[in-house]
Amino acid sequence: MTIGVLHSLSGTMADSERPLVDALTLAMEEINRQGGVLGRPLKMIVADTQSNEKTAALEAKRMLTHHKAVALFGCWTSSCRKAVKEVVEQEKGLLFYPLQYEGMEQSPNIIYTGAVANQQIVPAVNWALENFGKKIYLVGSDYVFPRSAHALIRAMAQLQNAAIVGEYYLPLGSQNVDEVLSDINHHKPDVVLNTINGSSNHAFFSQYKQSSASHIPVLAFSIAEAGLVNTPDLMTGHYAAWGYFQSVDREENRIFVAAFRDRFGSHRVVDDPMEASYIGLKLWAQGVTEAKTTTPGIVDRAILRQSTNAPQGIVSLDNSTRHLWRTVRIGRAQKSGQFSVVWTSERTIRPEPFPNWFLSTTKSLRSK
Amino acid sequence: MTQRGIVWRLLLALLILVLAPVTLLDLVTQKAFHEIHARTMLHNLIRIADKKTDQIDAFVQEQLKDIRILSHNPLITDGYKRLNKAFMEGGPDSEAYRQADLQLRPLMAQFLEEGGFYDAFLVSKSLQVVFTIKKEADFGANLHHSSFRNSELAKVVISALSGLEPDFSQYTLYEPSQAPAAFIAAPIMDDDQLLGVVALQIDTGRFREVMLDYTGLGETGETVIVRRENDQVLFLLPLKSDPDAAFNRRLPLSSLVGQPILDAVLGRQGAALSEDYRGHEVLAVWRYLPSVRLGMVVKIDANEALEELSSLRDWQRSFLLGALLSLLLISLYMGRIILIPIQHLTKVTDQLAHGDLNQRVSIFGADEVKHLGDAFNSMASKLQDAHDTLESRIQERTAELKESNLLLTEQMTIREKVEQDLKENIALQRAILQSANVTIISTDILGMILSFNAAAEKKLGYSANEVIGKATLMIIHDKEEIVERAHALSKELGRTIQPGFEVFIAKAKDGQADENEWTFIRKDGSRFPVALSVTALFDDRGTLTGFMGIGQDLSEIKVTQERLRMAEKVFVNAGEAIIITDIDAKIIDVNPAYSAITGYRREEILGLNPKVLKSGRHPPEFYQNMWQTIRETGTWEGEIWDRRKNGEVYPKWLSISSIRDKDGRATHYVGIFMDISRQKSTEEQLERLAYYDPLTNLANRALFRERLTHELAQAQRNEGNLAIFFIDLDRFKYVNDTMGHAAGDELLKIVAQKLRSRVRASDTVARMGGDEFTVILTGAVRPESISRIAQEMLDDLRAPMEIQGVEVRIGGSIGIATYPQDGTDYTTLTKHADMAMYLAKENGRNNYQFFSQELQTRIFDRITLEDELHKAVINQEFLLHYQPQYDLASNRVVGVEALVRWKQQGKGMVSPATFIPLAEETGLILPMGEWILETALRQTTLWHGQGADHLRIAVNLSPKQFQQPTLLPLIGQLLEETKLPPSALELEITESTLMGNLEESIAIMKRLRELGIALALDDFGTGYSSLGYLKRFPVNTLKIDQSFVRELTCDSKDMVIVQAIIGLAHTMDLTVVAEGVETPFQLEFLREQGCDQVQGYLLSRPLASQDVTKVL
Repeated sequence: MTIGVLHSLSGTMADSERPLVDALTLAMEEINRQGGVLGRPLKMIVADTQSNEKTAALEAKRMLTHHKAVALFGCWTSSCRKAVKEVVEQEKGLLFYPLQYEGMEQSPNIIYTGAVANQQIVPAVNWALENFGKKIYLVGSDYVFPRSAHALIRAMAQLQNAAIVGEYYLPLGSQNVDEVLSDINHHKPDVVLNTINGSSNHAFFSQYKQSSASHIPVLAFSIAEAGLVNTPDLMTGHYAAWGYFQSVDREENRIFVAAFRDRFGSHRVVDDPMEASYIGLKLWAQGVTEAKTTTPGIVDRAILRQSTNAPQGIVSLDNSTRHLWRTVRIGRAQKSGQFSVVWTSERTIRPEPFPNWFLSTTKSLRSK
Repeated sequence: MTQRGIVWRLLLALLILVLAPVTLLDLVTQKAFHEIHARTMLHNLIRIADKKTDQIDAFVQEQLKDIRILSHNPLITDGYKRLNKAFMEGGPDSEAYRQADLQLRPLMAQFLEEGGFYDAFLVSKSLQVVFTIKKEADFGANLHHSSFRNSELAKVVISALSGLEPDFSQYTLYEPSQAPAAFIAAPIMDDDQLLGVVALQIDTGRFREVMLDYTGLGETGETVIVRRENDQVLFLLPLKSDPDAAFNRRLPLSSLVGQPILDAVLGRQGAALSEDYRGHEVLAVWRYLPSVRLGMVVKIDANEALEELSSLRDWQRSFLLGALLSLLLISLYMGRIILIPIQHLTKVTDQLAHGDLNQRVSIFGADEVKHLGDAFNSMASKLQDAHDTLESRIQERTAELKESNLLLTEQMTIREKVEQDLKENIALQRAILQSANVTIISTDILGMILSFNAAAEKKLGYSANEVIGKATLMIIHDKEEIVERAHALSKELGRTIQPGFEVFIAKAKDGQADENEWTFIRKDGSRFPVALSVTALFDDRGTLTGFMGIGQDLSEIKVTQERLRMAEKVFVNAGEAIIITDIDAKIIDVNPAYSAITGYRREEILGLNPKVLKSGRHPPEFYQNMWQTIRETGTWEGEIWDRRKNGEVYPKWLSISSIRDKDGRATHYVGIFMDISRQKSTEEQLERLAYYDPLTNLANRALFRERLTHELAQAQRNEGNLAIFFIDLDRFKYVNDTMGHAAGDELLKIVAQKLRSRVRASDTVARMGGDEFTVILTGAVRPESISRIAQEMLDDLRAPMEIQGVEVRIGGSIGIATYPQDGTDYTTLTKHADMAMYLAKENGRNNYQFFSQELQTRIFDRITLEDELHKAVINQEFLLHYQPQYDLASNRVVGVEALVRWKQQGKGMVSPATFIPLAEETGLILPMGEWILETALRQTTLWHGQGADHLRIAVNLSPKQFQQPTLLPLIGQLLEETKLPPSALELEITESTLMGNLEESIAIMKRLRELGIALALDDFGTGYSSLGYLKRFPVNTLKIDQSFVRELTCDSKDMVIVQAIIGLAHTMDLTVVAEGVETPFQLEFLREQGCDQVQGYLLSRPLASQDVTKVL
């Protein structure tokens, strides 16, 4: 029984995506140690999508038609997901997508295990407005997710009588942050909301520390423990919003972290996207075990009824949206590169990939 | 003896050899059966659990939908604003708060009732509870406060504020209501402001009902719903084995290791044969339910689930036993062949045993056997000696026996006599049973019917033969009633009474009298109530042998009781006052309506004479006549003036009847009356109605006409002048539609006052009907003062008004005509003022216009255009252009949208923006639409014939056309005539067309879909239709409105909206078409976002039919 993994092992996304393959490997090995799925061991084929969505689509097709992969796990960027979406919809395959993203999507051939806006951005921004103040500065990378996220935050600012004092987009991979830092310093916001992706975050945070704006708190939405592994002190004192942190104080999590380190080395860290990948494979195996088949339609119905006691807490697939019920957490970065949880939703949150309030406020803004 | 012994021993060996494998086989097959059966049963349980999960999930989603709708209701947002303001400024006891509360309360109460909710809350952003319906301890509290901080209400409100989406709470005990409760909460937003939260408390019973449904679960099956609370598991529902378990029973997690309950609360699922919390073996399926955040175990006792299996086992065992026996017989036969010598020995032994002690054996053969023979012979000789001594003792013994036999025979005779008596006695009892008028049913201790008397046969419709041997429980009782009673009885007796026969006998068994009301079910399924008394039957040794139930039919008593109850109800609830007196006119009873009308409480009026009510308006003869009539005819009816307790005199309509006993003597009088003071004053008002508008007290149309005619004559005589205003309100209809007629009426009253205040007393302000007002300004009026008054009136109308506590903004348009310039008679002057008003409206409202010749020309032009449009329809001056729609995946034209053009003879093209609204307004859209449909379909047939047989034609339907009952037959006929496949036709309908009458629109759409026609929702995103509605429209395609596409530049909010629309449409399996694509950037963006089809000038302008083939 073969599952296909689609992640970038080369190109700009490689550093981010490689740890996800390890998380999937751990899940697979655990499943196989308990006798595999339907009495057969799982085999995993990993395709290098080379940080390119066209490659991802081709590999997805190859996995499904040539290798007869029973399920696909992978993608990080939305463009990758959209490209693979067409393939899985055409070939009637099943993709597990582990990243937090902008929502507004619900494919019958994808299971989304990452957070959507109401499970990350919305509660975290509300928390920031309450705790830091109502002057916001937005900085992000220049592509789909940050732009969508900013549109959402702008609408929220209006709802909460908050002000967006500035907004800045860095080209993907850019290391030139002088301009944005001086702009932040100029506007003196109460909080900086950061949707920067990838390596630009290193430049941003390391120079932020030196800048005169360094006392202004930053809340980040796209950097997690794995991004800090080489520079643990990078964002000390600043914040990130995720459903899972390595520091989550639960027995299930301690076992997960220990198992991962045991397998891949004691220097390794785990973070939300990795956990979401791990959960995805576990839920798939549970679904197949219950359905007693890997036939797409039948197994899909069974998978959508699964819950599991994951490292972050109990998570459940939502039958009507195909996304995951998750907990929301905000963590404050420590010198060690770990986060200490400062706020949690305490309960699992129903996924709403199409935020109702946003669409309706948008409409009323237009009709004026 | 020896021979048998050996046979037995041989058989024993055989048995061990055969029985062991057979038993093993039995065990193995039983185990296999057991597993297969358990698996099937588990499979069924999984289905039940899935259904249960879906039911609970659907329930939760339904509640979330309800509150989402509620939170968007403008009355809630406005009501919240007022309440919160009043609460913050003056607290809940202030007058302002009371007013605001009064306005919102009915709406909320109605919502609660319709939605099955227990309470509703409005909570501010700072967590202040500013409104509740029930006003329990939570009202006025701040949810931050320590006593509420940990309540589920606080948590769900915080969650709604934090995530901006509705949330559903945990189901838990809620202190202020002293009951378990679940809450839902949703943010309230007003345009772009977050205001607060609306929360609803779900009725406990309703929530329990959803979870507590044991359908398909048999006797022992049940659903267990649990929550983890720290190191314990809490049961949220009653258990069959413990009805008080809900919110009481807790088990430590450590005691549940390996049990389904533990797995379920930890977020795991499974299905297996396992042990439950009682230690019973059960088949169980368990799940975690995310939508309520609870664990669920659906289980059934293994004994019950595997009952079928035991009968299978019995069958298999008897089969094996049979096989075993045959085997034994065969073995026996085989054994005999070996045992012939031993058989001989046996025979002689037999003879010996029968006393022939002279017999000896003669055996030759094998040494051992021969030895046996010799030994036998010597033993026989010894036996013979012993026998002789025995003989004499036996004879003595025989004599003793004979004597005791004689005694026994005597006893037998006595016994027969007793039995005979008993039989007679029973016959007598049976006769009594059979002739009794009550149902008498006796049963054995398990409830199986032993006897069933004639009355029972008659009342229940069964013959005794049919029911004897059957359980009463199964045939004449209502199962639900038994379950209820079991529950009640368990409580009463303090021990668990199973819902079965036990319910009837629990008390009788203890020797307690047990008489209860029960429902009996007849053979035909009908029911009747009985008083059933159950007695336990004991035999002479005091052993319980059965029960006897004696039932008295209560149907008639019940009917009488019901009738009395109804009469009582009528008496108490009647709107008319009812008074009952004895023959001496002493009051013996009055109903509540009597007290309400007269002001006298029942206690203070009883025993008095109704005379106390006299108003003094009627002379004594009036009353004498009244009593005379009553005595003669038994009744009197008429209008009478009486006095209330507070002294007020009022008219009432009274009717008095006497009640007579069976001998015809009057014993009581009953008086019924109602207060008719209101009807009286109505009569007076009717007169006013002829000339005044009752709502505003302004002159009505008739009086306006009379006054204007009069003033015109006056002006003519004095050579004076005058001006008239025609005033039409803007947005009045909106207020009426959204806030209700009461609000509309209130608005009209305010407007009337405002208009009135701007003119002199001698001027006339009239309401012509609806939201149309007129004004007559008399005396020497100069144009400047006319303008000033008109402007003042407009300013007044534009100023915000407070209607039912809500700030409302309207506006007005005024048309002015003056005498003598614009006309000299009533008709001309009013017509011209009306035209001027029309112009004011066209000019964008909130302005006034004087009538002018130019205006007349413009209106004339419009009338001309209307006229020409009429002719154009007849002369067929229209033609169709077709705009290609491209599929983005294949880059090919897949359809065309038909667009109508008007080429006016001798004048050139007229813009559709000019003539389409006019056609819609005048109804000409109908013949035009028909022509468009027919032309488009015929043209498409031609294209199909030329090879473009997949081309789809999109035709726009106007609102009027859509609502025509002839639409479906017309389309059906056209499709038949053209032989075009229905799927080639797509009808485009705008959201606003559908919103008028939602249910009807959906029905029409469904019928169109049944014809095979495709439907597209046009201009999507511009209307008010929410996402919720969209799901209900059976459309295939969504057309994104041009305005969104036009605004698509690289940094606009519309990017996200378009993305959302496409995502949403794809979720619902809809095709998305974007219109008005004009730039390459727009096209590229739409392609990236997965938009299916596009049309626009970038790709192709609308083409004449002959040009279309070039792009195909």
